[in-house]
Amino acid sequence: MTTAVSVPLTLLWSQAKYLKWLLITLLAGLILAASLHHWDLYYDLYGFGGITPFLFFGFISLFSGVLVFGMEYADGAESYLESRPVSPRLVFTQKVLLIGLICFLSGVAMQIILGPSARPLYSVVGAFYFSLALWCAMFSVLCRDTIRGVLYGGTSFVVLTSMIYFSWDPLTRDTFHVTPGGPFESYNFNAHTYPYASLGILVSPFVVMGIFSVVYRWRRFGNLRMTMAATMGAILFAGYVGFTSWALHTDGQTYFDAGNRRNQSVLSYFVNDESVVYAEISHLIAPNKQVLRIMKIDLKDPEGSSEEVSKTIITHEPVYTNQQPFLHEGYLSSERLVLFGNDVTPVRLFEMDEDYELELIKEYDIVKGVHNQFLIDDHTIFVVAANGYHSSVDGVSDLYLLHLGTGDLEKTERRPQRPEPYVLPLEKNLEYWVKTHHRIDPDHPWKIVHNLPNGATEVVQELGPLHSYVFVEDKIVGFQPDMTWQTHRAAGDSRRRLFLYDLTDPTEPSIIEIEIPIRFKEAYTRLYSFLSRGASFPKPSADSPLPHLSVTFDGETLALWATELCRVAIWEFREPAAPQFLGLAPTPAHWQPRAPEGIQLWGTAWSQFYGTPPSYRRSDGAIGYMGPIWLEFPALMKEADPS
Amino acid sequence: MTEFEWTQLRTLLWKEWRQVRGLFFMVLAILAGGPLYLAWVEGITQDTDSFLVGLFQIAAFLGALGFGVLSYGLEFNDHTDQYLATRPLAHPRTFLVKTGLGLALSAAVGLVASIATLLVARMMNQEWTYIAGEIAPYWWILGPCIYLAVMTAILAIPPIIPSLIAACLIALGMVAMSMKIWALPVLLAPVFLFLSYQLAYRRVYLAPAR
Repeated sequence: MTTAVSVPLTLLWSQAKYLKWLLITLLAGLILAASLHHWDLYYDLYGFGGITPFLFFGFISLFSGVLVFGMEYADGAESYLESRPVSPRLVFTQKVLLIGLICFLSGVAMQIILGPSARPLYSVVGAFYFSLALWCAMFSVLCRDTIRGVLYGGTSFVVLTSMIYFSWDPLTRDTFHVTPGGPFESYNFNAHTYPYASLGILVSPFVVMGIFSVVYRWRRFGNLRMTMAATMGAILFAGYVGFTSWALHTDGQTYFDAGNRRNQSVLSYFVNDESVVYAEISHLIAPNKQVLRIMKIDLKDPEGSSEEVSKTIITHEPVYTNQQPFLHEGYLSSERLVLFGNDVTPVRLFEMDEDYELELIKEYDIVKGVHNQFLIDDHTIFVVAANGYHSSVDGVSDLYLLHLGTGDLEKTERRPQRPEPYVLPLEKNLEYWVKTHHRIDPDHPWKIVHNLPNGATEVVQELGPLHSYVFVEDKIVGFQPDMTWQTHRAAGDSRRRLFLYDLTDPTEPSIIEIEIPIRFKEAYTRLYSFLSRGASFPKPSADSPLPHLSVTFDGETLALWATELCRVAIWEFREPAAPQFLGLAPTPAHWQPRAPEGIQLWGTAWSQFYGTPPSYRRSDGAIGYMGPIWLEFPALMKEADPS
Repeated sequence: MTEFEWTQLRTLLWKEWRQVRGLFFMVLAILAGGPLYLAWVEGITQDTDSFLVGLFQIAAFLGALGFGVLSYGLEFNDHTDQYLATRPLAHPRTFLVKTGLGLALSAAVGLVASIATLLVARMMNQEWTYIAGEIAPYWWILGPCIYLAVMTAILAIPPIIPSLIAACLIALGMVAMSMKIWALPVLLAPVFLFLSYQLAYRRVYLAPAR
């Protein structure tokens, strides 16, 4: 056997002797983990008790680092190793690889215990353990002792990681502000950063190894200089910081107008030239009481946040059923507020005066069960007072038309005709309309149809297929899939193209593709698929493609909301054919702006039908959406106030 | 007790303190550093991650484990155990100084961890036992129990590596036990105290000369 082979094998054998107790413990831990996997202990362990197996395998990893590097000092083998005809780099690499293998096995054991659905997955846990082991090994080399390596290395690693952990949150949400500040119901602002955090953990062993290699060289040869591992670690670290900063960068700042809205729900709102007025209702403040507030936002005031203009206590009749009266649906117009009841409370109609004070003018005792209500126009609401949960099926619902102006409640026998969501009449050219048969099937694209004088119709032009569309002012904005729906979902919903069809002149429609910034979703999606392929993140399932995108468009401002990414992309349409990209801004996770109707629209998704939450502008250029939130983009703010 | 004996005791106490003070300050850095750093970065509010209070529990655990390992483990590791046996101090007094300091520091760290948990939980407007677990108020007594168990493991197993692994496992076991029946570690503490006293005598004073 040549020296090149025998020396590393001898070294490996000597390391194995140091590690025998540890390897026995790891083997026992793996067997125990496999046994636990067959028991239904997942929830016990993943809760507070999950810290025990995590610490157990953490200790295994920690000891592996300390023993592999520290025992040579304990046994006085340092000088012997130096006398061997083997490169110090090879010794270092071999020891690091051995530690890496043990940490990887520890990560696998944790994965077995926590189950396949737990996150993060074993490669991330293994990488975390690897960093811990290398860090403690570095301390054992620094102190030339195993015990001090374990204690000082372990403790300082806790300090280091907690500092990084607590720095991560503020770093990733420094452009999101909750006004007026103070304690607020917890919103998850940074769920979209988890893949980037996982990537950071995967990169961390290389960075720690770089630092360690410099320390190792210094302790062994007495000279302090950059090693190849340190250079590689520095490059990886710089690359990671650069990529993450680019991908998580936002152009605008978001102010979430919390007001006093802790435990409050917005019911409905309307916008006029100078203000936004909205109604909000509190959760139950007593078993039969809720607070109804009318709030106003002054659009002329740059500092303006929500201001309470009237307050009414809503009292319910005491009930002794399992269901507490709890109202959360209503409709607000400039003069009326309808508060819909539930199966134990009546529908109430309020009159709102110029000072926004509410006065109850009528109560409608149509309590029979679950209510559904639909806005037909600005003055009429169709109300279904169902008699029990299944009454709409068996046809015993009572149907009413509520006329807001007069307050009359008219019983009706038939439902109003449901608008056809896939047939959209144009506003400026009444003899034209657009239609499709299926909203996502590429075989059924949108068509512009012309009503001929003889009553027949002709297809003027075929447009591409669009889905998740918004139709406003003869413009349709929506996504055009570039593959079949099935492939599209399997690909993780990442390949979508956003198009605007301007049908102002239906004979010559213009079609504009709106470029979505790569960092908005591509960076996230591709990183997500990269991590899931490497078992560092859960694989995306066909049922939950990510990130989910939805569009709001009011003719002037186009917003693309990515709820999982906690971000919104905004375009402004000053010239119809040239949308101007304003930038990205953060949003709370799983948050979308509220439509003004405050009640159910026809269908299920507001973005696909008539209703789309409109934006409103503050005098300083900030864009508002009902939540309420304000998006401040430097370009708009500078334009509104050049000083 | 003579002046000479007092001097010997104080000298031993000073030596023990020098051995553990590095770890003690590191644990204090975890306990105080987390809240201070967070207060400096963004303040502690209702939205603060409850990992902060988990960190206090980890600090109390690491403190008890570390003090337990350092008490006699460092003597064996640095081969100073036989030197210790030559000091003109009886074993009960040596044991009392070493164990007393370890117990006091473990209890102090546990107490600070419990108080820090209580204060931070109040700032977060949460129940402290809800976010930190039912054992959060008892770290001042659980820490010393873990310390005794760890010290016993270190004394019972002569090779340093198996004894370190056993010490970590027994410390984890004590925590797991306390989650189910928090009084169990307290009931076991006198047993560990007795065992460690006997084992220390055997390992330090009756061991054959190297």
